[in-house]
Amino acid sequence: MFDFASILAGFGDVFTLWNLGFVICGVAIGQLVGAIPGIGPIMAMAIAIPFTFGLDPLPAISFLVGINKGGLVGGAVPAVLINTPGTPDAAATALDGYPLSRQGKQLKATKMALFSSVTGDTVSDLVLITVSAPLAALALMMGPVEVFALVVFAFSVIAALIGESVVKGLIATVLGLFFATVGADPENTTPRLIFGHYELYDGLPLISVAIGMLVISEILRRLALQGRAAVAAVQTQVPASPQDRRVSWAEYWSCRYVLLRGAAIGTVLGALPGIGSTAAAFMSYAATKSTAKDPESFGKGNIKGIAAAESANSAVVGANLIPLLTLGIPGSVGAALIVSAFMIHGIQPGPLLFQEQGRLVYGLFGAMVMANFANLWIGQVGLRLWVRVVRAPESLVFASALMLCIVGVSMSTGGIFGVGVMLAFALLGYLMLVTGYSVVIFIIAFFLGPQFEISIGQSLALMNGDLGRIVSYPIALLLLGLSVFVVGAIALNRTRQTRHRANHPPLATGENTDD
Amino acid sequence: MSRSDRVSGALVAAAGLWAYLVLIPNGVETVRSAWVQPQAVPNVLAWLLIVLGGVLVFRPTRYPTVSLRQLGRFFAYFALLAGGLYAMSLFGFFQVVPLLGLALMVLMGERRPLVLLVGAAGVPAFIWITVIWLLERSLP
Repeated sequence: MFDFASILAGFGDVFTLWNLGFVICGVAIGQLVGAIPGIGPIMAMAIAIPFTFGLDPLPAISFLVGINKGGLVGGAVPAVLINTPGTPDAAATALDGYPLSRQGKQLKATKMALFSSVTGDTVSDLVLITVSAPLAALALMMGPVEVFALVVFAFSVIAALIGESVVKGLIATVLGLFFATVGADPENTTPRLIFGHYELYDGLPLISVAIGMLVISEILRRLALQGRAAVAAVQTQVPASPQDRRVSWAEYWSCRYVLLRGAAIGTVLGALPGIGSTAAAFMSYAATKSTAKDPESFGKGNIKGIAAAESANSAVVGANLIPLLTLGIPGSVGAALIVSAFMIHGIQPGPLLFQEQGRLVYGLFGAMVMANFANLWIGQVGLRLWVRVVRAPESLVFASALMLCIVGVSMSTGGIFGVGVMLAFALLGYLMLVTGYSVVIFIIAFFLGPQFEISIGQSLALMNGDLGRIVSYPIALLLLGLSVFVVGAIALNRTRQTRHRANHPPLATGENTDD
Repeated sequence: MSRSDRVSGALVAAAGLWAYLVLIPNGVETVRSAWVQPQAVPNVLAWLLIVLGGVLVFRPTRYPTVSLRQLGRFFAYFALLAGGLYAMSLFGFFQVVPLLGLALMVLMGERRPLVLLVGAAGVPAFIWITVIWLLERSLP
């Protein structure tokens, strides 16, 4: 597990010009698409995954991680400039970023967002690098019964993602699990629900399902909502003085505690499956405002507001990989997309990854650190350019994205059949979005489904069909107990929220697609 | 305001019932002995869909109903994509994709010639360079 040769070899692999090129390209694309309201890093990652098919695993995954990290920085640009977050997690950034922009300090605001983002991200990556290998070692001691209990626990934590209606969240989970049963039955390998389409023998292609539900359905929903693809109009003030165009060291240093708190909140929430970066950003913002000496200045252009939001939302990215790399459980859509990239390259994420692909994992860690530096460097150079990107015509952006999705899925699934599956799931995704079912829960349940079913069969075989024997598996019992506790805590929280809403006017609700 | 949930709940319950009565019996082979029969998990999930869909019909939330105009627009785009996909299976990707790009942009309300040209010619050219030339892969 702690094979120093693998660690050194992994870091050695990544620090090559070839890999550096992919990391830089990924970060630049991420910042670019993050700056375009309506695309965002998740959509860009989903589109890019099939194009990495011909690459080696390390540059491919480094490229995708670069897009994800770059996208979080880029997402702050439209939030600051036009009060329209490029990504949901940048919504909290807009609270103080946009007022600063209206004062002609848009460059100061975007640079603070950049520095905060890189700081939060780096802290989170260091935690990931430090804790994931020991956690994976612990996870390796688990047998099928513990894995079954772990998946149950993951489902209970995912319940945190369930929106206003628990029933709808459960339906999304059950639908995801149902579609995961298409393909060969895991115990007997008999074909199931494929109706003569032997392309489905290995199950519905994850990439078709993910792109259909996350990208195509979202683009079509936006197009259907607005009718005509409008062009974003950006009107910015010209900075009055050089101080308004940069962030001084004194300003950055004055935010150090805010940055560290944001990074800590983002890392802790990111490590828990299901809680996204938007929640982290708002939590950090609220904590900073409530402890500030001048809380009334927040929302009017306080640079600490940007630091709080951006350090927290970026810290989620690295920590999101902790449950993925150690347990094989994707805690977010971004992590689920990384899973599909791993699987395209024939790699199964989970605790065995450190043992079987230790060199690759440490290479990935190296790439993440490299991507943080690239983010800083490209952000410094590119921020002025991304400001122009906000004005890109949506018609061109969306049409290009749709065409790239068709090409990408066709390449990764080896033909037009996978594209048909993608379109079918785009329809399902759209219907789920407009009727308030969580697509995120669906995708995570779809991914966990096969593992869940295999672990049920193996657990029953191990216990010889006697469920009472579960008492001889203490870790499984602990996980099942934790599941009950988490569900109880969520139910209690929900009851409190319902009571609170009964006394206050309802707020607008919608699908939480943050990662 | 609760119509959306009643309709979607009824559709979910109907889908579960259809899966239980038609889809699973016709689409899953049975085996003689197994800890978990191949149809067991799909059947349980189908039942859950029936029950949860039913619960939603009788206890809906106040989720807003999507407008028919919006649905119509969605299906216009969807039909265009599905038609484009069918045409690709007949004539090939590069024969269809410039027209598909153009049609999508026109449907989105784009009328600027330069933007239309970039979408109809520039993007397919970029795809060709990336996929065929750089990645050395084939397209349908």
